[in-house]
Amino acid sequence: MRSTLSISIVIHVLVITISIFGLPFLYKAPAKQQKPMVVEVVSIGNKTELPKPAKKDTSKQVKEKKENIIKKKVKKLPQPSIKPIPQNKRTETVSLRKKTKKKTPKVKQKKLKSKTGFTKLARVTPRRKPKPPDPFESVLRNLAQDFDKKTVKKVYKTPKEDKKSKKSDFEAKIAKILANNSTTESETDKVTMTEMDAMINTIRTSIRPCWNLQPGAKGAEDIVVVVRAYLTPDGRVKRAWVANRDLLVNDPFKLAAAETAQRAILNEACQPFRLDPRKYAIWRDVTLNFNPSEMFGK
Amino acid sequence: MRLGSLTFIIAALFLVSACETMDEKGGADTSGLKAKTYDSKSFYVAPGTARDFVVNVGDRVFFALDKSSLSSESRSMLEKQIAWLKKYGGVNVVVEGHCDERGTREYNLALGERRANAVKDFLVAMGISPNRVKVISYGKERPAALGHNEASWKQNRRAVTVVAGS
Amino acid sequence: MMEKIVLFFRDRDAIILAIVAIVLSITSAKAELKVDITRGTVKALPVAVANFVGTNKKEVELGKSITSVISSDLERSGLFRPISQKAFIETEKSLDILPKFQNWRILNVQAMVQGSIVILEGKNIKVQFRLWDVFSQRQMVGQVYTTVISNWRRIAHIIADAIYKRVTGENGYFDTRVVYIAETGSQIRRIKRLAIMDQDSENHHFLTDGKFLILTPRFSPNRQEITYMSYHGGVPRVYIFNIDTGRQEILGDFPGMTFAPRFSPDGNAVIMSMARDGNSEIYTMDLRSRRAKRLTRHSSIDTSPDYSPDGTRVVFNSDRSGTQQIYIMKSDGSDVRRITFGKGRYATPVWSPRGDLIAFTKMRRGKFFIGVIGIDGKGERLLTDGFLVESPTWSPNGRVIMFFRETPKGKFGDKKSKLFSIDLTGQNEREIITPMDASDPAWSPLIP
Repeated sequence: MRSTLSISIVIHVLVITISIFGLPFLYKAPAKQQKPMVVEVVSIGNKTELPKPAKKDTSKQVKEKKENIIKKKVKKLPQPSIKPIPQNKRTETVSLRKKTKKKTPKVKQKKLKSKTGFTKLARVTPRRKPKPPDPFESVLRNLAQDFDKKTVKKVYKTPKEDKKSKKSDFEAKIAKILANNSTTESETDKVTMTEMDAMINTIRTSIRPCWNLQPGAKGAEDIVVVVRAYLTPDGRVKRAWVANRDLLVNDPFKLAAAETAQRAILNEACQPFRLDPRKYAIWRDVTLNFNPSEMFGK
Repeated sequence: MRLGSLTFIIAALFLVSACETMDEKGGADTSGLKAKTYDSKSFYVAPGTARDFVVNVGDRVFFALDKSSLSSESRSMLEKQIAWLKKYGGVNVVVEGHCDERGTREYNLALGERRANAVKDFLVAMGISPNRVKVISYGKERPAALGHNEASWKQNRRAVTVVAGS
Repeated sequence: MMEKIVLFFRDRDAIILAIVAIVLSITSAKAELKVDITRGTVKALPVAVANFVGTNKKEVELGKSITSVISSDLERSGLFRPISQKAFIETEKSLDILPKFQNWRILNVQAMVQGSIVILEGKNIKVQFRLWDVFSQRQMVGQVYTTVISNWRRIAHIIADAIYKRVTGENGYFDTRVVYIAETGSQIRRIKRLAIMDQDSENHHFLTDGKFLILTPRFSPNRQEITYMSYHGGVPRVYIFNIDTGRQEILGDFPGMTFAPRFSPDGNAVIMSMARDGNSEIYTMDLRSRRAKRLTRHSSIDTSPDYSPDGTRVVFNSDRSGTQQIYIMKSDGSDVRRITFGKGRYATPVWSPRGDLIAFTKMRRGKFFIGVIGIDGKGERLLTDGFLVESPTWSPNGRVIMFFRETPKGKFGDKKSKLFSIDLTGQNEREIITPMDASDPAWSPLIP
């Protein structure tokens, strides 16, 4: 147990450091040597043939390469050329992989830390989950509902009210239980349940207009993206990354969903989050679960 | 020069008569079968010809929405057609099946086929040789009446017996 | 879990980093706030497409043209919102300079496209592009193409497809064509010709002269071929047309009318209806052996068959229950199941390329609808309606549906007929511009 805890702390600290200093020595050196764009010249026949596999490879290489260019100060990029991946490319990939590896265990480690006062924070979230989805708020359009208006109205008015009353009942109970818990465990950070709720709500409503969903894609409702973010004391996002990127990166559609979530949190138009600066310790480190299932009517 | 103007006059005459024919046909289309008097007055209709059939017998029967069964009205019309066909035993016909515009194209092709065959089956059952009767479906591709109302659609849900020559 | 930790510690660099981190750290880790984000917005992604740069006038002009094709492809999809170039603060002069992301952030652009053109000696061009994620400041994709100049439109569509794919994760559909029926003349003697064009209405050609009625064309999934029904010589039959050679050929020697043809997913067979003695049944015809096989045996009308993308099943239209409904059977004709039970008549089922949905035409209370339904018969959604909407066809990525819409016009019973596309979500309905009236659209696969 102790060793796990220490590992946890190590990783945790590590990530914070990285977030602050931005992986300095890993990137600077290789960046100088990187060729920006190794692209194969794909020739297209007059009418049709386009050697597809070649094209795909190219884009992959380019994508990986690109991550370096972006890293600071590299303003002038050498001319694009057709070249095999240079040696240092290897170190490059390795370092990138490390980065992602570190993240995943980290989230899990957190949970082990249950002895501290943070437990209750973790518990706060589940109460959001039982919220019943409202199929009529689905983003998928259906004319039949307008067409059969009369019947539809009847069908959904009553259950909606039912849900509401049930929900508030449920919420009240949970709140009670959680409130009891919090009194016993809130030595370190004095945050009441309502304050906690308010923070969550603030972040949630702030991000909502910036999370630009892609409805209509097959299986879109099943992809949950976990984004970790560090906030500055004035409620802006300092750094954010997809925590479960490993699970998503191999499927182009999942990758797109991950990047969409990342864009949502990075979009300055939806910041700053108006959070109480005195509670900065609570909200400087945020985990966001982007889960569209409710919106897509599942 | 003279020859030219002569050809022109002949051509014009042809055109006029062609127009007349078209009109008559149109008249027969809309009012069903009662164009007989007007027709026989202006033109001589040779017995046993396609025009004779259209003008003096009546070439079409109508169907209810999405149906291919023959009404009693349709049967009596077909009986007249049969009598004529028996009289002119050398004449072959093509039965065209049609639908209104209120269906989907492919289904209507099948429905038109069904309607045409309903007519063919009746003709054959009443003693016309199946070799003399061909069918073709036009689905909703060849309406007889324009207009987007029940009055037009009624006229378009039809099977038309066309004399194809002997 | 343990595995991961072990893995982690095997990484020597990581350990060093970790130690550095501990040394540097002053405070211990703080609380972690968890937020479930369950709602977002559905808006088009603001994107900037900068004019592709060139070094001489000709290159610059071509660059502008390519840019505008890419931009309008993206815009038409409804998933992107290219912002006006007039709003641009500054555009990069070269592809080899890192973009000034701050300039694009101010405009709230989330993705930025830049490119360049070089006209090579002879007739070739080299076109390069990069797509940048403005927030994370990363290149998302970058590619180079070389081709003959006359092919510049296709390059533009291919680039638009690459952008679409990278941002949405789904394949694009811009490098595709549409075959349809061009209509002219009065409704009573309508002239119907086979026509083909790019999905953005460019490169329009007629494939037949209009002497005979032509209906319901469909693309081959893998060859430059179209199958359709023609009244050639007054005999309604299914034909195959070769786009490259312009040759058309009757399909099989059937005793009755053949109609409603579609290719099988492997392109080696055509499934269609054949009518005999007034009864329409579904047949498949192997294109190599030229042998036909009957799949349905029922006194009702069975038509509009369409294969599932894996070829194991066939969806079709039948009135065996008394009204037109949609059924699915195995591709050998067994195991027939009805999937539509809603009010109204259902027709023209088309299986989504993704496999999970069937698009259809529905008729109810004097109105027509285009809708989709799950292959299990669940989740019916009606996307659009009208006096007459018919004949849905899927984009090759299964995201967009094209159909035609007839609307009464004028006092004399005339009507106009136009092609439209709509997103699977029911949003973004657009007219597809055609030089004259149009019907029976069929979307090509991505051009091979």
